[in-house]
Amino acid sequence: MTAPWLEVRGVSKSWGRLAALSEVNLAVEQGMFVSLLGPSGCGKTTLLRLITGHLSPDSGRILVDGNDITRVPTHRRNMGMVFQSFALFPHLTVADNIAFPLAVRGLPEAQLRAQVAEALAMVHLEPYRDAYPRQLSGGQQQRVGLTRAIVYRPTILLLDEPLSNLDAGLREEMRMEISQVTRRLGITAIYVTHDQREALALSDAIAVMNHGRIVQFGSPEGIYRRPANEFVARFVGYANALPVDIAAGIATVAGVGVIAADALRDLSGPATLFLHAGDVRLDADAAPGPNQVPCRVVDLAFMGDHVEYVVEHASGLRLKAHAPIDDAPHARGSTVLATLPADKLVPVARQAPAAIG
Amino acid sequence: MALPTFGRRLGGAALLAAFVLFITLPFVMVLLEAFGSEWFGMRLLPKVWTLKWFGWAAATVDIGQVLINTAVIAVLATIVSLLLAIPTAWAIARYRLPLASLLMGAILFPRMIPEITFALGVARLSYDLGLSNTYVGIALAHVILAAPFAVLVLTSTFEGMDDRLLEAGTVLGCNTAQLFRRVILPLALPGIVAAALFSFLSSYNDFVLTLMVYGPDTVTLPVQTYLSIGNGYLSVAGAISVILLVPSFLFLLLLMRMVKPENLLGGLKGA
Repeated sequence: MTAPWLEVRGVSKSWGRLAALSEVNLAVEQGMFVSLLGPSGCGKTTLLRLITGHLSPDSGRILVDGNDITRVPTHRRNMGMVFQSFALFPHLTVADNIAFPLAVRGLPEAQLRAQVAEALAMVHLEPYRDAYPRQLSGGQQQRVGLTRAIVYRPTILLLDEPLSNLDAGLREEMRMEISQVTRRLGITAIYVTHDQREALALSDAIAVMNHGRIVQFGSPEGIYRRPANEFVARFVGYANALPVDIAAGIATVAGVGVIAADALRDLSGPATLFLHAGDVRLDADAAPGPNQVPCRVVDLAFMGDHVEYVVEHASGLRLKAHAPIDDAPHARGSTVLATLPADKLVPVARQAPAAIG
Repeated sequence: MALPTFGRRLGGAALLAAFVLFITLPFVMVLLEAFGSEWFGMRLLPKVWTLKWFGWAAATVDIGQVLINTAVIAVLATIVSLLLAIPTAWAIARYRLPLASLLMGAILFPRMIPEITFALGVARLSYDLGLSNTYVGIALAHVILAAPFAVLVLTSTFEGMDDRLLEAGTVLGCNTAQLFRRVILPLALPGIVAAALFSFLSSYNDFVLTLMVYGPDTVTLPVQTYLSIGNGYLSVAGAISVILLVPSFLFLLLLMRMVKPENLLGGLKGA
């Protein structure tokens, strides 16, 4: 086992009495792409700024490749950063923006030009080399921002919500560009976002943050399929939350009955069963079986590649379901049987409401 | 709303014309003095148009030396004003200074009160320090007038600076000196040029303080104009006034090309 490339050890930071980060630990292997995912105010941006050195921690240490950099000033950390606002220098051309970190490092002119040309070619920006940032679209500006951040091969690339200022269409394109470039260069990347789809799509690992703590760290698959608590489950987009009482390994939904779930572990007492909308199956008529809940269709919306249903059980329990477009649609008001697959239900012990972000 | 009738338009135009005339009449009189001759009795306009007063001005006054004095003093005052104003404005704009508004008030104070009220103090200091009749002494007196404007303009320039660009600069490897030279200075350049122009004009235009501390070797254009009027050579004074006006107009044009007046007002409001 190799030592982690970036290590955050017991880092805390507070603003007056408000704790922005409490005892955060994080270890990132070299070449990994790690997302810090959480709602605004969860501490993800504070953690990023501690890693760049724009803030210094109240306690704890930050190490890169085994070296303590906690007291190293930002400009000597040799990190790269991509900003939400692009933060391109408006007085410099595209080529000069990309050359900036190289010029600051005193690279010889010939070498500098060669590297800038190579970088421009890599992101297909050669036609814009002499343009100023304001003459470019948002997507082009962010490509310049990305190129400027990696042209000097930083130890770590930090990305602070780099897609938030882009249009929906460009966002996906830019996301792929970020993914390709970082993997091609084998660069270690820390990606800050509040968008779980971006984090799931890009990351080797995700650190879900809430109230200044990392509440779950794991692979995108693990985070999505096995959320550690209610907060994570809701944040990664579980659309259905069934309140249950678990006793002796049996989960009961009030007014509905027993629901079988594979992964009850040793939970008991009040809990929540989470289920993705895409995992709920709706049938107009089906042979009665386990985990079926008779419901009435309250609402449906045609979403192009699927139909979104809201169905309601007589007890008032509402479920959301996504059905493929090729199935015969269920009309509003019609009766359906909703099947909740036992292997897809994720049971999580219920937390005190105050702990839910 | 009813369209303005012809009569209303005419009335508006007449008012506007009266206003323009009122503002420009003193300048017209100066121009008539400077370019006119044989202008006696009840004549509305001079009988003869001439450039001879400029010749007289050159013959009776060392115009070249006066221009050099004025320019050297204005450049010195501008440099000192910027050296003082850049760090001051940076501190006011970028740090949460206690009593920042009080500090700003104190800095602006000399521009809000008549110069003559502190002219005596300036004169005493100049004599005591042996700075009267020197370029440096007069330039320092002018800095009292020039620096407040420079601080005002630069404070709003620095306040408007995007923090993210400074952060980008440091992550990309700039130490403090590099950040200043490669990021802050270029971003602030329009503000610095505007502050420099204001400072230059504050010095170039000043009469009251200069009068207190000038001497035979340091006569400036405004003082020379005053002296010529006092000597009774009104047309020579007119010619010198015209010479004094030309650079002012050039600066005004330059300033208007560089910054839109409305932006400038916005900047003043912001400070």
